[in-house]
Order: sequence, then C-alpha cells, then structure tokens
Amino acid sequence: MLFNSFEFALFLPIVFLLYWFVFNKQVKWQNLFLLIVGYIFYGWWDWRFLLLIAFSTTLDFCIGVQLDKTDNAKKRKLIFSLSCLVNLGFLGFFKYYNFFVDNFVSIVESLGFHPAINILRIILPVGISFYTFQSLSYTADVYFKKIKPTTDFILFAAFISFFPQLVAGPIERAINLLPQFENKRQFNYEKAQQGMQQILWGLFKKIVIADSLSVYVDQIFGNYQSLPGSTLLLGAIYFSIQIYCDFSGYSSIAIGVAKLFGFTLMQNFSYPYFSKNVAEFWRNWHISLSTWFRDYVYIPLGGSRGIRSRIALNTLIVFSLSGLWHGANWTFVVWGLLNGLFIIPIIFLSRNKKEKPSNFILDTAKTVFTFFLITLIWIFFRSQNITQAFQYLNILFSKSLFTYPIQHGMALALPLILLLFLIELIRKNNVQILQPKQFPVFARWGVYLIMIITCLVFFKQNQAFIYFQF
Amino acid sequence: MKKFLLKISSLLVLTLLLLTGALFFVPDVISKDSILEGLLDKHEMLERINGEKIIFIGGSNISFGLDSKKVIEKFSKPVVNMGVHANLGLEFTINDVKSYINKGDVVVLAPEYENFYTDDFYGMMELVSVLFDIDPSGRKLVDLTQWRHLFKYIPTYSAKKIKNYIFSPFEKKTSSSIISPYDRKSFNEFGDTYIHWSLPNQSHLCSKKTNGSEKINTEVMTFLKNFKEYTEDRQAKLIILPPVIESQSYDSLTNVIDLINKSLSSNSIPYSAEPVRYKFSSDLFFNTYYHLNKKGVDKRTQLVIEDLNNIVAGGKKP
Repeated sequence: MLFNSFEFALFLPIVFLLYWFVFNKQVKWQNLFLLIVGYIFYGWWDWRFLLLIAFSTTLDFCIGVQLDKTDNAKKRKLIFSLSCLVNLGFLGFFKYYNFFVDNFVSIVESLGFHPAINILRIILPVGISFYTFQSLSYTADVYFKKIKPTTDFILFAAFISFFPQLVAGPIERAINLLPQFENKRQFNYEKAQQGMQQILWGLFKKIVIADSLSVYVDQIFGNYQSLPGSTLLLGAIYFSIQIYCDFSGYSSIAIGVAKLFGFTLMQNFSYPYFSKNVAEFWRNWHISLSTWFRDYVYIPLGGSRGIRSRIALNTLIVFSLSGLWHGANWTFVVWGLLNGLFIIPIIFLSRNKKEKPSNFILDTAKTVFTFFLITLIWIFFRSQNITQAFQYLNILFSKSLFTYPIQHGMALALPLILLLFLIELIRKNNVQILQPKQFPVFARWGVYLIMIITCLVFFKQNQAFIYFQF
Repeated sequence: MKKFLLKISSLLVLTLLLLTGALFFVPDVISKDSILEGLLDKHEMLERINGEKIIFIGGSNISFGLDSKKVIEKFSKPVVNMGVHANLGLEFTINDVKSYINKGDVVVLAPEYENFYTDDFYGMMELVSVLFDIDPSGRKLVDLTQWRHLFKYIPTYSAKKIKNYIFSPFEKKTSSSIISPYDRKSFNEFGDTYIHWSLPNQSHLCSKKTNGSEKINTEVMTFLKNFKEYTEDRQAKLIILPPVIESQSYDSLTNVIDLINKSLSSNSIPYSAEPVRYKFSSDLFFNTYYHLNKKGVDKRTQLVIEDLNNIVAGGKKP
C-alpha cells in the first residue's frame, strides 16, 4: 500500500479511529492492533512476504530472549551470529543472489569456463533491507547489553512491523522505539497536529516536486546519448532534487503518521543540501542508515581511531557496504565508494581543526560546491550501469555543456525547486514569524487547502517511492 | 481528540465541497475546444448518415491514423472515424457508438493494446471530462464497475479544473487561426485528425517494456463477445484489426501482443490481420508511438483497405 494512494487515504482514518476509540483501553490491545494493521499494510503488496517477516520476527525475538538467559560469552556470540547469519542470509538471497551469480559467471567465463548456473526469478520483498536492519539492530543491542530484551512477543512483532516506517524507514533503533511500545499511548493534540502538517508537507514533496521531476529525469537519462551536456547537467540536478523530495517526503509522511498514533520516530533528513561538505551531507542525509552503519560497522571496525590508512579503509568499507545496501548493482557500490573517497580528506583535515567563525560568502560557496559534487555522484546511483554513468559524465563535460539546454517544458520545474529551497531555508533557520502557528487560522487553512489541491493536480496513479526498491 | 477530529473533518468537508463545486459548477476550460469535444461532432456525423456505413472505432491510433476519404473511394460507402482518445476506454468508446449501428454497417474496431491488460479499458481522466463537462448524457452508458475505476480520477480532475480556471487568464493566447492537432477543429469531415499531416515529426517516447506479469482482462473479452453478438443482431459486420504501432514499442510489447492475439482467437473474436502487419517504422510516426504522420496514414489506410477488401469479399487473413 503506497502512502500516496487512495487505498491508504481510506486505510489511515479507519485505523486511526479504531486505534483511539476501540483498542485504546490497554497497551497490549494497542500493540496487537498495530501488529494486525502492520501485516495488512505489508501484505497488501504480496501476502507471501508476510511469511518472511514473521519468521525473522520470531527468530530475533527468541534470540533476544536466549541472549538474556546466558552470560557465557562464547554462547552469546554464537547466538548473535545466528541472528546475523539468518537475517543477512535472507537479505543476501533475495537481494543479491542473482547479482553474485552473474558476477561469478562473468569471472569464470573470462577464464574460459562455461558454468551452468541458473539465474532464479526472485521477487524482492518490499522494504526487506529496512526491516532486516531494524531487527538486526535489536539483537545487536541486546548482545552488546545496551538494552534488555523484551519478553512480550506481540510488542516485539508490532515494533518490527510498525507500518509507518516498515518499508522505507526511518530504520528505528530498539532503544528509541521499543520503550514507546511498552507504555500506553495517550492522544496528544499538538503531536497529532504536527503529524498532519508533516504528512501534508511529505505528500507535497513527493507528489508535486519529485513526481513532476521524475518525468524529465526519465527522459534525460533515457536519451542521454542524444542530448547536450547542459541538458544532462539539468537532468542530474533534477535527479538530486527528485530523490531528496521522494525519500524525505516518504520519511516526513512516516514520521507524521507515527505521531498520529502517539509515536516519535527519529529525524531522517536535516536539510542535507545546505551542507558545506560531503561529510556534513552524510550526517544530514538518511540519518537512520548512516548512524546504523556508524554504530554497527564503522565503530566495531575501529572507527576514526588508529592510523590514517586504517581510518581510510574503514570509511571505504562502510560506504561500499552502504552503496551495496541500496541495490545489487556495481553502480551503487561505486556511488558509495566515491562518497567515501570525498569524505576521507575531510575526516583527516577536521581532526585538529578549530571551529572558524561563519562567513556567509564562503559558506554559500561551499554549499553550492557540495551540492554539485553530490549531484555528480548521484549520476552513478541513477545510471543503469557503470558504462552508462561514465558516458553520461563524458557528454556532460563536453563542449555542449556550454550550450542552451534542450528543454521540452523542463523550465516549468524550476519554480518548484526554488519554492522547495525557500521553504527548507525557512524551516532550517527556524524563522519564527514564518512558522505555521504564527499565522491566523484562516491563513493556515488557506495554505493547507492550496497544498491539498496542488497535490491533487499533480497526482499520478501508481507512483512508487524510489526507496521501495531497496 | 474531539478538537482534532472536528478540525480534520472541517478541512475534509471544505475540500470536498470545493472539489464538488468545481466538478459541477466551475466552467470547463480544460476540454473546451479540445479533441474531446470532437466527440459531439462525430455523433452528428453518425446521425447525418441514413444508409449503410463504415464506422471505425478505437482511440487516437484511429483518429491519427486514417485517411477515410480513400476508404470511401474504395468501398463507396460513407465512413465515420470515431477515434478520439484511448483514455476514453474501450468500454465507453464502443457503448457510445452502439446505438448508431444499423443493418449493413461495417464496424471496424482497432483498440490500443493497453485496453486489454490495464485499467484503460474502463476509461481515465479524459472520460471523466466527457461525462461531466462535454456530454453528460454519456453517464447513462457507464456502469458501476466503470464508475469504481473512474472514481480515483475525479478529485484530480476537479482540482485541475480549479487550477485551470484560476490560471487561464494568465495563459498565453494562441492565434485562433493556428489549430493544434489536439483541437476540436483538427478533425476533417470524416472524423480523421488531419491538421498534423503537414507538420514535421516530433520527438516521442516509446512504450515501456512489459515485464511478463501482464494478464489479459477477461472482462474485455466478454465485453467484445457481447459486442459481436450485438452487431450480428443488428445485421452489421464486426471486424477487429490490430492497432498501428511504432516498431520499437511493438518489440517492447511483443509478449502481451501475443497474449492478446491468442486470447481474441480463443474467444472466437480474432484479429482479421496479424498484429505484426501494423508494426511500422519510427519515421512514420508523428508524436507518439500510436500517432501516424501523413506518410504513415497513407500506408495504414492502404493496409486497412486491403484487409477490409479481403474480409468483406470472404478472403483469408493477409
């Protein structure tokens, strides 16, 4: 079920009313109800996916309980390894089996052999990367004794299948979300109001900006060989904005919906395109994934301690894995590696650097430079293969970069992009006089109505979110 | 909670009132003078003919893809090209013409392939426009299943009416002497879109490649079988032809075209020509993979004449 669908527009109010008026007596009823609706929401795509999530949930619940029962380090390590093996095994099979087989066959064939290995027709369960990481972080936190495991299976299953963030995050940590399932939720007007505002803003970003830009991005990336460099640059910029509005739009809706049910999810984006370098960008982009890799991969590898070559290696490992997490294609790995390469010098330079007073011109220049750098790296993310990405860059940096871009109405998207940056700037700087609560009711409602009507005008059927494929 | 529900309900009611008001009372600036209004002219063309006639039914592959004058010259029968837009859906497009079919008529049906495996069969936003702003009498032709499919387009349509109404004063007015291929006036006296015959080709996208999971809508087959019986009852002849399609798009849709072909045959309503016969090279298309330019129109018309000639004369599949 997509957030931007009529099915969800019916599903949400029904679930909301039942949750607060029928299942509101005890916390266990609230959790049971959320578990059921989480499974309905997820099974809407394909009921067979439910078997997988149910199995992972049961396994990690049992592993949590078993980890708590023993202090034997060897035994605990073995139990935790089982969780990693099964969770990553499922992820590896469903997401990467064909990728690895393909690459293995190519290597073996280049050596002159012809292995008879079949490619399987595997359907990738929606959001498997997200809930696998969430579940894995629970067993890891129990293993490292950061949290006590829960003994309430319904509560744990509701935590794993919490529908607002089930298929595309934010990837919540048990330490933040699990305690919220332990206490009975009380309706909070302010929180619900904020939630609705976030839902509307998320839908606006997705439907009005991301989906409008996707038309041009598809056209440009689909015909890049016949277009001038200036148009390809426009295509890359549009993709930067598209993916941001698509994914941050989803996160806004997820956080907003969670608020309607009395939950607070972690912030997933913090104005990333206003970052002054790539490292800052990654602290503000897909925060729940970045911090996951930091806590469960980068720090265990040694993090920023030790000699420079070791730090550089740790960074590259983390960013390659982060790239691979996004999809079974070398384009994602290269995309991750490039991000890692640009971050390494920043890590080294910032070690002994003193905080300098801000300089508007210099800061703006750094922000613009970072945006263009990130935009160029996104080309690998969007391309079908590495060859296409290099061809795209080759044409982009040819003489035709200095020609007038072929437009086909593409300039129509520019006011939308300016509007986005303006609103983000106001929100980032927390300009008080422009906050919604500063306006009289009729003005606020006027803006809400305009936003709803605009979303409907731009609405297209079956526009999935980009991150669903991950 | 009470305050929250009250506010949300108020906003919802306000939105619904605004959309309903727009749907019924805001003047239509979206479809005014567009090809969709051409449907009214095409009804008049049908009404004007008393004797036996040839009626072409389909979406824009028919309106942009035929030179009816040549068909008239060949068969000495009046021709009406009823093609307007594929998004009106095959169900409505056929139901809209049914009452005009009489004894001795030849009905040539060439629906776009998407009608067979997507919801296009039931109609899309263009049909909403016809039902609420162009020809409200057409609502009686729409059944409940169709309304269920159309319902999701209504809020967007209403919102677009509001937007277009607000922004129409600021839109650049084009000279009234320039007729676009999507204007009501783009049709000739037989219903063919002809304005683009003198225009150069425009760049266009090909059809998306099918992924193999497509299924033929069995409702379409039942509907077509019933339509065949209807034409036979009226002593008219029904001929189903494949639509014309650009070669790369044909290749993208090969699997599904094959399925459609087999399904039509197994339901005793086969195509009267092999689909590949209407696979044309890209240079014969004007601005989409279904819209022919003049050269393409001439080629397609010639093939249609051959097919009709063979079938009416009792010949075999070409």
